[in-house]
Amino acid sequence: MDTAGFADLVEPITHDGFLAGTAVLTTITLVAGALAVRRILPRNERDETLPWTEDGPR
Amino acid sequence: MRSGVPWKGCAGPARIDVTATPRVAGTTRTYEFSGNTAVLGAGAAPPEVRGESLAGTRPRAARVTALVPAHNEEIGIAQTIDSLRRQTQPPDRILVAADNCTDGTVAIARAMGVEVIETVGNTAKKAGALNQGLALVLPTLEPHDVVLMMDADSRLSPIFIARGMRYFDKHPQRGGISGSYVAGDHPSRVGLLQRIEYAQGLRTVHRRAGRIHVLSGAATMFTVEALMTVARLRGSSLIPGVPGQVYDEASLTEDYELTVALQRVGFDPRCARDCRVVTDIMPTWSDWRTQRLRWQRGTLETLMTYGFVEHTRKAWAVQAWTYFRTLVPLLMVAIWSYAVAFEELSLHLMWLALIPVFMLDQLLASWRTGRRGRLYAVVLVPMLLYDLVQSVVYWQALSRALHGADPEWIT
Repeated sequence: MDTAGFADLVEPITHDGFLAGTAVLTTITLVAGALAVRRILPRNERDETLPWTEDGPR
Repeated sequence: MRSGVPWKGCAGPARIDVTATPRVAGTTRTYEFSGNTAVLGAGAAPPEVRGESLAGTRPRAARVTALVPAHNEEIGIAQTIDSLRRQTQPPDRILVAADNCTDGTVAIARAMGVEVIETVGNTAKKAGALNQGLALVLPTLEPHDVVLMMDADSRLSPIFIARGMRYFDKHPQRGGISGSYVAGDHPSRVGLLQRIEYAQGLRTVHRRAGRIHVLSGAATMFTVEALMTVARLRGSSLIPGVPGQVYDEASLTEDYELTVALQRVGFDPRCARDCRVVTDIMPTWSDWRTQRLRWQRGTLETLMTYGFVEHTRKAWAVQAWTYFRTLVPLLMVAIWSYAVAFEELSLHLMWLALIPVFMLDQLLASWRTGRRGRLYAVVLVPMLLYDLVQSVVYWQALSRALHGADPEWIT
């Protein structure tokens, strides 16, 4: 098999891999963005046994 | 004591033999001490462990003992002791456990009027020094008393102990209260990056009601009850280690190991927002790498020792995510390279909208690090590079944990 033939053979495989990798990266980017938004939003988990909740967060 | 400083131990076990019989709630309890161990006498389980309450039967207010392990800490020990003395509720006893010091640490501590013990035959570095110190102080204490363990390169905020005691008053089953660690000022770039990292990590902890991965070695308060319970149950199916020892001397990260041990025996330790402790950071990249190798390897080895059990499942998941995350940059390089070489490139501008979100997130998380810290964080690239370098260290740590290589300590 010549070089061109081999390239034609593996091209669909590498292209599918590229699409899969892109999908993974897209998912990770979206998850990271969602986590960043979550961290930006105010959040203070309440626990009645923690003293700072008696006087409000400092 | 800075985590990771070199400890030169001598051969042979330490021998500190003490027997004490403190009275607790009308019951005589015998602690037997041998070497670095502190073992509760047979048939004298703590009332809380037996399901009884100490409320209303306490003979006196809780006492606080500060225990400071130190190895060649002449630069920082005076400030550490001074910060203890300046507490609004000063500790009843300050004990420096000097371990193989060859500098002026012992002389400075004695000149400041605190008790100093010099470890004998300690080969277990910080954990061994702490165990020898605890073997001396625990016999004098009652279960509701508190031991503050702090590094000799750290400084407490003046209300640290008073606020920490409030936590235990409110909920004794905390067992341990970790200080909120803040990186000390350092002019180097690696110092600033650590400062940002500490601030961001602490913000996450505070947003989770103080649930913390590791009770900071910089400064953490423990009830005697919690320490004795851990010591008594070491070597059982619950927690590893030598029966009678509070700290597992086989661990590279004794503070993390103790955190897991406390949780395994039923305590619920937290980090206190208002107990602040300023601690020195690694001043050079070389020191930083050595410290992080030890931290990460110690974490992995602790998890491997405990296995996939109730109190380590989340930590295992965090580690899996951590290592997966390190592969993302490699995937990005591969995908982009392939795209440039073989595919048609197209850029969707909507993705750029995410960048301000990441910048705002970084800005808020690093707000307490000052103008320079905020600037470094908001431009994203420095912390991305920092994470990248840390990723390499993580893989090295994994390799060493799996192959059992000799541990490295900062020189």
